[in-house]
Amino acid sequence: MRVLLIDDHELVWKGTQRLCEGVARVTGTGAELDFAAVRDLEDALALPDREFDLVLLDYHLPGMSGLQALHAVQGAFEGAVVCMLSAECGRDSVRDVLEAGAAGFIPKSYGEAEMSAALELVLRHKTYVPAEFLFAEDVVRDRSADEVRNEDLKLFLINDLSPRQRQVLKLALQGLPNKIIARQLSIAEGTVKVHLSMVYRALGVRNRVGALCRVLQADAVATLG
Amino acid sequence: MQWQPWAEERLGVADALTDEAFDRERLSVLVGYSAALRFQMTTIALVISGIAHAGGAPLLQVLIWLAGTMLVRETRAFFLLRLSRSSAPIAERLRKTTAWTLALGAAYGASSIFMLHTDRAFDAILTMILMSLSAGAVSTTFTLVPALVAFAASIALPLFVLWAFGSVDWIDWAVAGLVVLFFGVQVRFAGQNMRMFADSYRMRLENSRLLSDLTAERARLAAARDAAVAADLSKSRFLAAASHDLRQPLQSLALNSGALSRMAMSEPSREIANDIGVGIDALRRMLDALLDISQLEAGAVVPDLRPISVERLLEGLCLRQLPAVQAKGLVLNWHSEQGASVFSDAQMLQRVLSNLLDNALKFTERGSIELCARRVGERIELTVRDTGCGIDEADQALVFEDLTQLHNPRRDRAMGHGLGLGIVRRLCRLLGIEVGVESRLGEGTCFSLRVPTSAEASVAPSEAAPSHPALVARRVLVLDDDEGVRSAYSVSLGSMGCVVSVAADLRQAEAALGTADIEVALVDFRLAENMNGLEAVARLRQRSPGLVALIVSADTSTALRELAAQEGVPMLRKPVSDALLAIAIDNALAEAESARRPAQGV
Repeated sequence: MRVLLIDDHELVWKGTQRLCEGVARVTGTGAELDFAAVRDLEDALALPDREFDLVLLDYHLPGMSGLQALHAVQGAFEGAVVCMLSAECGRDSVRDVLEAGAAGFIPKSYGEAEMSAALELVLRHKTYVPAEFLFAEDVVRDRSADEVRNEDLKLFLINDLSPRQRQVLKLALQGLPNKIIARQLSIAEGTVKVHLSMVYRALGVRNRVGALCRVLQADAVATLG
Repeated sequence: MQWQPWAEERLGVADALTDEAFDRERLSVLVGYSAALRFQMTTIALVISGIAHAGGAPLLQVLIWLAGTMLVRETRAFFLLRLSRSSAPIAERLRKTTAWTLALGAAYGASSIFMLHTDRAFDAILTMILMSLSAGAVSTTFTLVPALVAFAASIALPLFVLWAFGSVDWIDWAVAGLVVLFFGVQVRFAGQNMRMFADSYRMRLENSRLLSDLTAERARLAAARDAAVAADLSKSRFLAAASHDLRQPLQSLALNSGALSRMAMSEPSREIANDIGVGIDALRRMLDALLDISQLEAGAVVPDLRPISVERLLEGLCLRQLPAVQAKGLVLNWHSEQGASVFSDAQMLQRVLSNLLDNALKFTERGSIELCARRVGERIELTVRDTGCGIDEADQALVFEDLTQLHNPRRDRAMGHGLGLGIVRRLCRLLGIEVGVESRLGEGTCFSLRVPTSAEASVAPSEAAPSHPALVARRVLVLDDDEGVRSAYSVSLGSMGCVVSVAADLRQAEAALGTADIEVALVDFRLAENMNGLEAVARLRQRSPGLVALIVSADTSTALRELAAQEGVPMLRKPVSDALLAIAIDNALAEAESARRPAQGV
């Protein structure tokens, strides 16, 4: 397990490393944890070996927006799951980052226990979304009368989605960009998009964030395998 | 010669620059007049010469005077023009101007010599002309009173002398006296004119100063506004920086102390590590609250107003609080009117309610906490009621103040920092929520929130409903045994302009076919009494052949789809979005029409 932290505050490097070590120990990948930290994107791109499993990216890097940084990292570290760390947790930033395919958004205001729980999820290739955001998205979502209810969503995911659709949705919810999903499943990127749009329609949502919130709200991530 | 006092006395302006400017103005007025009067002055000199010669003065004398006077006038005019453009000190220039004016006065005054040759009648005419000239000087030379005095005196003095000393009777004396009197009047008038001139100059000066003050003031205001905007921006930037930079060391502390407490160590060390952890946790919560408050104060938070399902809001909140409430041995109840919705910011409203719930939990030792929503007029009233220790009436107004902590005389920070209700107050103000508190000591407290609903906000609908022109006035029948589904379809189809009839079962559907001229039937696959949608469509088509129908189903197995295709009924998979529904109905209608047309054509 190789983890890269990109954060201009060296102050948090050691702590984050210890956090990752603790989490890796719990998730059972502790022995091979290889942690690297860099100050900015430039240093990250200069790394000789870019084979990382997880990139932890500070939302506020000097000189660029969080979204720009995310896109750059996704481009440079193909195959890595990218998780955002942020000192502030604005609705729009969470939405944008998840929509762009980040595997999670962890507020830095969290305590150690909360952070390690969030990181555990991400290291298990699941997505972490701040509870406040998830909750807020749910209570404002329009529901159509015949929508599949949360209780039935697990069954719906198992029975009504094709195995391929489930696979695509699972990878999308892990925060992988469409291109990577296409490569992993050896299908065309356009096919990934078609699958996803069908799944979104079936879930009654409009995009990745909606699907993510829907599935998390129904506690149905596990059904995706 | 005293000209400077004029400026200071009359203007009351101390600064030398203004005095100088005033003096320059005086000079330029005077020069302007003297340059403009060449023709008149020449005429006067010629007339005097003529009269003097006609009266008996020797021609040579007269010609010498005329030539001398013209020379003085022209030279004076030339030098005055130069003086007005000179860069010499203004005092000196004024002095020279006075000297030249004295010379001019002396030149004209010298013509009174001719009186020695003329008789009294000619003397009188000459005197009249000279006095008129002197009177005219008041209005051309008043800006430089010493010059006027010099000019008038050099005319009046010879006249006085000649009348007085060549006197034969009282008339000569009287004229001499009048000349003196007239001199005095002239000087007084000149002084008055000068004062008026000074006044008007001062007013002009003040006006222009006011104008420039006004311009400066406007510029200052603009600068102040810019500064305020910049300050606001920098305040926001400061807040952002503070929230960003303060969190880093705090996060480092939290992460390391967490790692530390998981390490193997002696009991005393563990205790210390735990205490550090508790301290960091309190610090973290307090920083969050303080930053929240300062962000709210700075107006850096903009609510994202949307319709919020109250049922889901209460359920989500209560389910999350339930473990903590039950751990304290309390009961948590919640209740909401069905379908109630408010128009607010989900995250902020949730924050308000969870702060109130935290508070209720903190101060309630036994009994229950209750969260209710009910409609009150246009608004939804949310109440958080507890059976806790209650708040003294006198303290009820205080609870929303920052850092107020009732029931915590020892200021034990583990009980919180007293910012929770301050945040509630600020968030409610931002969201337009009316907050109320009712409490009785020892019996409990009830906080109430009156939250705006979409009804109040519906003036500007957030999203314009898409219109589907093809569906306007289409008569649609919805057949579904679930009432909620029926009303949802009827709302969404209605918004597309359809005329909707609803039916819960086949009997009602058949009745609807009889009364309304139905064009499309939207039928749920699973109907009550073990009937399926395809059977229902078949029965309806018996009554109304060629009825366009669509089946909606959650089950879309291939077998079912084939069955539907055989019947010529399109199948829609649940859930169906509005847009999809519109397209499907539109397609089905278009298909049916194109199938009908060739048949009619044959």
